[in-house]
Amino acid sequence: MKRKTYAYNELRPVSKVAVYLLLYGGVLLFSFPLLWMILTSLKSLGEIHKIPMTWIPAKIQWSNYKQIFIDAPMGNYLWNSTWYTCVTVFGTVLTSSLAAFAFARLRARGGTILFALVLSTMMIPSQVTLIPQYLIFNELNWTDSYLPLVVPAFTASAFTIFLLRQFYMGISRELDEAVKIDGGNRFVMYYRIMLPLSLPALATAAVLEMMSRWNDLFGPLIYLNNGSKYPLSLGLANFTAAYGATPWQLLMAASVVAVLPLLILFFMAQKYFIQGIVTSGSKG
Amino acid sequence: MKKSFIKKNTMVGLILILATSALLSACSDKPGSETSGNSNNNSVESNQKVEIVWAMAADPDKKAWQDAMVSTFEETHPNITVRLENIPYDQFDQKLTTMISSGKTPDVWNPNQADSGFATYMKMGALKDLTPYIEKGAQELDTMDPNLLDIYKIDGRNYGIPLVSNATYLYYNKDLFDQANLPYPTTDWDDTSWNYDKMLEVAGKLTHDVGNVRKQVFGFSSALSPNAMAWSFGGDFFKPEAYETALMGEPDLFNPNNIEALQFNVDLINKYKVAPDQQTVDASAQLGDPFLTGKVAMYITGGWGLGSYKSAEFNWGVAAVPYHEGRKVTLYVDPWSISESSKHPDEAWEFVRHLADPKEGGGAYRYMNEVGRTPADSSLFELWYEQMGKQIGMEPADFKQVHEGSIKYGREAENHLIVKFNTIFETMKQTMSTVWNGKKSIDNGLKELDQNLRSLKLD
Amino acid sequence: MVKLSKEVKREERSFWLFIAPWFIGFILFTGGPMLISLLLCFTEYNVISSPKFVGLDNFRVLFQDRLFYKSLFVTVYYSLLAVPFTIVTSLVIAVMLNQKVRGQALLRTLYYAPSIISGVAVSFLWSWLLNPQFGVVNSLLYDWFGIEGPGWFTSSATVVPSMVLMQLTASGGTMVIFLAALQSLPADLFEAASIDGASKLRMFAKITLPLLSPVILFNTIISIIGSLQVFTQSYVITKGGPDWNSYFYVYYLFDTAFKQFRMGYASAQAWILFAIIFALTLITLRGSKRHVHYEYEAKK
Repeated sequence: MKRKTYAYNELRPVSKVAVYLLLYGGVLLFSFPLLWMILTSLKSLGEIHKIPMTWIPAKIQWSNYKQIFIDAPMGNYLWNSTWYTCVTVFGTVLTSSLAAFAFARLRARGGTILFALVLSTMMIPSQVTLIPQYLIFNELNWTDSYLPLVVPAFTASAFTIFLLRQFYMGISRELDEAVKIDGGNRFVMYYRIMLPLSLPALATAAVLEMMSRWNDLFGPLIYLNNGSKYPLSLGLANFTAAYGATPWQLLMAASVVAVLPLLILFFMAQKYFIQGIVTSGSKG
Repeated sequence: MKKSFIKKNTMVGLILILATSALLSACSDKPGSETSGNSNNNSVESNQKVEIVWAMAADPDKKAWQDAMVSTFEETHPNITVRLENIPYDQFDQKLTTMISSGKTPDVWNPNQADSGFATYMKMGALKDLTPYIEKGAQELDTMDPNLLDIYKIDGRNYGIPLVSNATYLYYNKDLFDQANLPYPTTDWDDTSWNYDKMLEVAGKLTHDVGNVRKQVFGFSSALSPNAMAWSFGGDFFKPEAYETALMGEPDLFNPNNIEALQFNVDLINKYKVAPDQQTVDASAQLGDPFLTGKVAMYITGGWGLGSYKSAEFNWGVAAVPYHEGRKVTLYVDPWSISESSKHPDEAWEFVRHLADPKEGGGAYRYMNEVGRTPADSSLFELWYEQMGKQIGMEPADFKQVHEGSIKYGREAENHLIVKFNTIFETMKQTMSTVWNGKKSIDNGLKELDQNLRSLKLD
Repeated sequence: MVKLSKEVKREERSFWLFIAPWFIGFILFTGGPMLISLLLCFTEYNVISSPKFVGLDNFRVLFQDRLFYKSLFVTVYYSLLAVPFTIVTSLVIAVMLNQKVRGQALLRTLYYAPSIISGVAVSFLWSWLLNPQFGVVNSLLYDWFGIEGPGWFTSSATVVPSMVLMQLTASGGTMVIFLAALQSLPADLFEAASIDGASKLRMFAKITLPLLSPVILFNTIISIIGSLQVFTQSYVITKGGPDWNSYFYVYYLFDTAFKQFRMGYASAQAWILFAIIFALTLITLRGSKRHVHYEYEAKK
């Protein structure tokens, strides 16, 4: 399978200039929060409150980064977030891709209604299902553990099912027929055709799921009670305080520590997941 | 493969049945029904280790103190372990609500920590009546001002043990006063010459460059709610019953003192231009606190400023709130409470006693020393005046005068006494925002507020 | 005939097997709570004592509730701005990032970065950056162009547009999905078209857009669902102000549920929103039927 990507490779000079201007101009806006976060994490609290605001810290406070590891079990938080994210991403993507395959390819009575049901779970504000859900997990005696967070991850997510379904719908059916003629069953079709062809989509889904798990505050907030179990998201929130007493420099330093691994991962991994391995349409 | 699928199907069936029954029992098992009847178990378990849960809104400043409290308590009570649960401030109410719904509440907590407040949780039935424990006697409470204990006495029953008693002060920026060659405001609350006219005059001298965002300095601002403004002018938005019954009832907005208070504060912004407008206040609130920007010379807010202004890069002091006939300022007394559904109320009470202990090494003592908050226990005041005076560069006697004046003219915060006051508060804040910027007259603003408050469903 | 129905049955059975994980989860963890919240619509429930049946009272009160209309209006206004704005802009950025440009990997990372920062932290950061008095954005506007910047989050007129702008920078997920979709487009079609001498713009309109349509549909629906449930921004930055101009629907719902402890009323609010989102999604799906193409072969 030789891969050919679709891209406007030969742009006219005029368009090229326009693209560069727009992209590099736009990136200023987009990287503003990140830049400001890093700069703030290196200031003293007094300087953060100073008016007019300063861009560059008067004296760079590396000690803020040391302080967060003293004030909070950051290493512990990082470890919890890491394993929690890995396990749930694996579970969600795997089970969602199964369901997505069914919704994209298999016919069944009530299939449309079931798909509507999938979508509808995203439409109800979680605030009102929170308490009944909590009561269920409480009844199962799962609270104050990762079970209420990890087990449901293995029952797919509506977002990922919908996303993968859309990608699967774009994959040619001719290949399915080939499997059918060869006498393969549906699982073979999924495993041999859909999975390899949709690797870029799966990777994209995994990245998106990863970000949302890494940053998920409300799930851990509700179900975890023990500080030693907290993930980073909840640990970060504990750096805020009432009445303007938040140590912003520490909160921002901790946020940088939280964001950096993901940024590096995204930077390194993007050519694998965005550019994919196989394009869906190409026939070998 | 087929076989394993069949197995899976039976598994699925089993799980389904399990789930449905769990769901049904979760729904039918109404929380709160299992709360009583645990006292027998307690005596049986008394030889075993008991775990109690202590919930606090997270605050990096309190961490060392919290850890010390747990370890010193466990040392003296080897059969009890305390599990500290830190909950982010902004999510405190949500987490507590969820826990209450399941009956799995923390044993010891401070219901005023987040926005909802004591009255809300008390009316909900989430707090335990502590009267029997207090009647049994607790030496830790001997030196507590009975008036403070009474704040959390509802219909003759006590539901909370005070831990801090923040007062309200006028904070002033010494550097700005020095630059303008003005004497610092008085520490004497009974000095009637320090009234709002005088304050306005001083504020006028301190104000400069208004409109130039980079240079402007304002003479005065405050963090007072519209109702607290009314209090400081002898008015009140609500009827006296509201504070006793904990229900807002009919608002009483059009009292002349209320109008005077609001008119004065609007004029400070729009007529005399010595106070920042709503937008500027919001802008600095986004960063933390208007006073901390160093661009406000006098600022009225609660006693927590003593702690949070430590990071200020200028010198500051505290003074009396200007005099007005009938002036009242807000006291913020926070209590420790025990959950109604606590499975180990006796052990929890032991821990509350430890937290409230004003003796050296006790919870209240160390809270004052290590976290720097205003103590509730009278025996600690002298020491605290000494410390605070040194810290902010005031004579301890002057600081004492300011604090005692504030207590004398103080009354307990509305949000601790009236159910769901934070909804009332937000309604006031949102409705009044167009009054502050002069788009709406005070009369129209109050009429709209009246309508909005009456439409709230709070009981 | 018999053989065919057997085949249909087999297909149906595999369908159920494939969706089993989701279905079990739905029955166990999602469906039940949804059903309970639906039942709670007709009750008064303060979290601690048992729910009390009140019939349609919650809805009756809701339809007379000034804040219900206000919050709905503000949310719809936000969504009308946010959905088209984020979809179009993310698509444009994705198409540009799909070109061979210098620093492509870094650019992609930076465009995605704001979405990685947690919602709460990024909200704080924006409230500083866009602070009308002290923020760097207005300072730059003043120092470089002599313009007094707008009030951003603190003024009634600009608070919602400011949040839309902020939301745009957080829509890296949408962008990445577009990028992935662009990458998986088959090159042969474009080669054929360029041999035919079609212009770039024409190729974009005639080939790229139709091929992207399933993903555009996905992003649009997700964006509708997300923006009608917008919450964090106003929770962290504005608390619904000024003058209720960012009092979003779910923020109001959160208030009734967790500040006023009126779970029954909050459930009624939630299910009204559900009905609105469901209807909009249905309209979008129906309306898109003619424009969404799932296989390029069909168009050949």
